[in-house]
Amino acid sequence: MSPESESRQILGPEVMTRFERARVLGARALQISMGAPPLIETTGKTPLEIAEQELKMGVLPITIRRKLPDGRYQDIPLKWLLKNQ
Amino acid sequence: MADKKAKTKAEKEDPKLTLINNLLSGYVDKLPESLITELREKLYKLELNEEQMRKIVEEVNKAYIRALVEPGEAAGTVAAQSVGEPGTQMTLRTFHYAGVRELNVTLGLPRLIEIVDARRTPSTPTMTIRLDDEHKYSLEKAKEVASRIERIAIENIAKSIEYDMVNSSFIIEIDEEIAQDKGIELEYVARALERLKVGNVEIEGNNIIITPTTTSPDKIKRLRERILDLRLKGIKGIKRVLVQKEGDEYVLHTDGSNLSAVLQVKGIDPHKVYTNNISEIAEVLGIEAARSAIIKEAFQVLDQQGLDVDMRHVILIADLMTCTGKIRQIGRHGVSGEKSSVLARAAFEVTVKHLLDAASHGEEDALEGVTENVIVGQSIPLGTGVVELFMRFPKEGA
Repeated sequence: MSPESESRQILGPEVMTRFERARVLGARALQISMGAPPLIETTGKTPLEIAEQELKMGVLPITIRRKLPDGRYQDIPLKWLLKNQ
Repeated sequence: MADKKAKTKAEKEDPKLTLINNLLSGYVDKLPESLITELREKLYKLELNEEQMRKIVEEVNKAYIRALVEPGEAAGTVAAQSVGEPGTQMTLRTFHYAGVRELNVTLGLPRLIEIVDARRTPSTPTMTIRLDDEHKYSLEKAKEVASRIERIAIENIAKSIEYDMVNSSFIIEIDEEIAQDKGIELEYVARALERLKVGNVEIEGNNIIITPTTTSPDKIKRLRERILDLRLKGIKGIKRVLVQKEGDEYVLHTDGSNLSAVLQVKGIDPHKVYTNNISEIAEVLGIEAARSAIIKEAFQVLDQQGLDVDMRHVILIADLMTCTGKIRQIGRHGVSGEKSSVLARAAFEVTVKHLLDAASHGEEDALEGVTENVIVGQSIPLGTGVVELFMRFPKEGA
């Protein structure tokens, strides 16, 4: 089952939390700083700026796993959350 | 509302109400009940068209979602700091009693400590008792109820009590004025003393003479205490009752607390009896009532000190204290001491003992909490630390 066909009932807030945003940006900026090619044509000068632009464009192929204390979780593609931003 | 529909008068206002109800019906499980009620009232008063109303409801919903705590937020730490920091300011300003109308009530930091420590009895237990319709408007009747509640012992109405060595008997001189004021007759006192079954009781003028069966000095000394403390009237534990006029009704304030007994007194309004003894509330009215009482008491202390602490921090603390169904204190014998993780407990107090016990019992630690992960040197499950990421490149085309 592909993530797209799953129900859009999102566990937790329908938008990215500030922690998720920080984590995604941090992870992507680190990759870029270590030489990963940017996924878009970018004007950004620092890895963080590039990561910010990538996030804004919605091209990051990242999935967030939101976990409940009881162990249940849902894998949420970044795209779903960006749509509701 | 249903029967009003037929009438022409109501028909004019009804469409508006149904419109609002329709608008709000989609938000019933999204917004708290109180917000929906408020929205309904406010929208009804305003002259708006449907589009404007829908926009308002949408905006309220957005504002509500924005106000929710995000997953990963350190709500507990924030609550602890939000109450703790103002607490340090309190220390300087109060560590004594403030006289509130003849009654002493513990305030400030000492009271706050009492609440979070979940002490069985507060150092100054008090009750606020409201009266039923029959009694609350008349001073006479309020005093009548007060006399039913106030505990009166021999020592309250006796001028003196002496032990007559010659006849080996106690002579209790009753203060007639006080006794009359409290509505107690000499015979009544004598009968109460007889029920103690310590010896012969006689009335002689204003005095009551008791001749105990024993003469041993030790027992006589103890007997003296027992006689002085003999309850003649009222409720155990309630030392004083003040009748106070508040607005147009009389309210009773007490020194001492006994919720279960006061609730059975005639003339009070059982729905409006309050005590500051939280464990008593938990016993008589249940844990939810105790939770409300903790919130009310703690918030009141902070508020009286002029400290602006958000109610939600206090609510979180109260929830933590009561979520097991019993009142737990914040500390060694409660919340901190009952943590499931060994490392978290060891980090709190008596480290070696906890570690030794855990080792000898073969305990495991799932490293789920913050403390454990700090100890082992991992990123903590809080804030950005709870976010788990996966990177999946699409297989064909971007």
